[in-house]
Amino acid sequence: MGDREVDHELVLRAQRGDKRAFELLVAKYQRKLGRLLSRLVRDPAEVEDVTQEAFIKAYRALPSFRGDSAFYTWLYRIAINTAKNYLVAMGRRAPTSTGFDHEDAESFEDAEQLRDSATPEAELLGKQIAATVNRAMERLPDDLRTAITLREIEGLSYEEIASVMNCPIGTVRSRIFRARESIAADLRPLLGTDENRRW
Amino acid sequence: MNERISRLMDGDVDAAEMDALLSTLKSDAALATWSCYHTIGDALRGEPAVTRSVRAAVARQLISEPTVLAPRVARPSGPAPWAWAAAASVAAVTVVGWTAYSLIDATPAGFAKAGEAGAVRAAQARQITVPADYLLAHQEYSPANALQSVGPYLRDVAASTPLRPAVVE
Repeated sequence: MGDREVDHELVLRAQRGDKRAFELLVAKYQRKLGRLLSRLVRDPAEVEDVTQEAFIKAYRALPSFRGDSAFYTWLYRIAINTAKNYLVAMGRRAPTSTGFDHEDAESFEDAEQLRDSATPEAELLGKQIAATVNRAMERLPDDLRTAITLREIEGLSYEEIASVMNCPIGTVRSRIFRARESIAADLRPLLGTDENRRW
Repeated sequence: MNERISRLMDGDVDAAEMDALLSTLKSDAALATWSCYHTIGDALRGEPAVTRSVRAAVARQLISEPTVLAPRVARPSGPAPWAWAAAASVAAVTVVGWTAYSLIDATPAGFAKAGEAGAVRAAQARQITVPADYLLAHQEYSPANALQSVGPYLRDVAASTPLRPAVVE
């Protein structure tokens, strides 16, 4: 079972009235979608408004999602249309192209624009998170750091990581979880648990 | 619980386990862990932070949204079209192969018969002397004769043609 199947199952649950399942999808894709929309909408506050609006539109359109494409590809199209409509409503001209196709939506790597246009508050928060995660990564034992790097940055499956690291899949599973927990222990105080906090 | 969330994020669960796990993800603590783990992944990939939680804002707005109750998508329960095509190809090859194989007597007895037949043909290939008058009398029945079937009804005929006088100038 892969990432797409997990998304699909969450969508099915949301389609059956489980709003919490849709929240899990929002939690998963809010940063990725925000980065995408920053290419269309320059103002950081507006990016978040449009991101929020795109998620709500996606929720309302859930009955029309049939699973023919990946959830994020479908969400991407809704977000692009939401941003263009927003710009038109604001009297601004929507770009004719975002510079990449929806096929690239899963993988494009260009966060510079959002970084450049981030508010000082967002920039500070981003730096704090990055610094916390980097410090935690440096303290990790090599095998844990390698495992989570191969998973999160290289996108390898557990089977592939087991092959690369020459260890059983169960060991890979354990290393990735321990790495996440170790980093999360440092990150949780920064994120907080209050829903009204920044996260 | 967190270990299972970690596996779920990576798709390292089967369908039954995922169903059970997603049902337990309704608590705020589980959702916070899910969000935190995704934040770690996004940070490692260089995804920038958002200045406020879009998820929290969406969650607040979802409260006032009518609950979505979409009809269940009827997913095809049978095999995919390519599977039918592959099965038909395999079946065709099997039928043709089996038919061809069944026509071949590959048993040891069959090989022995084939050997005997070769020996018989070799033995029969000796020179036979047939009288020429016999061949002449039965020529019309020869397989090489293209007119074999109508041979008995043919008669030799002759016609005399008057010679034209030579023209002498």
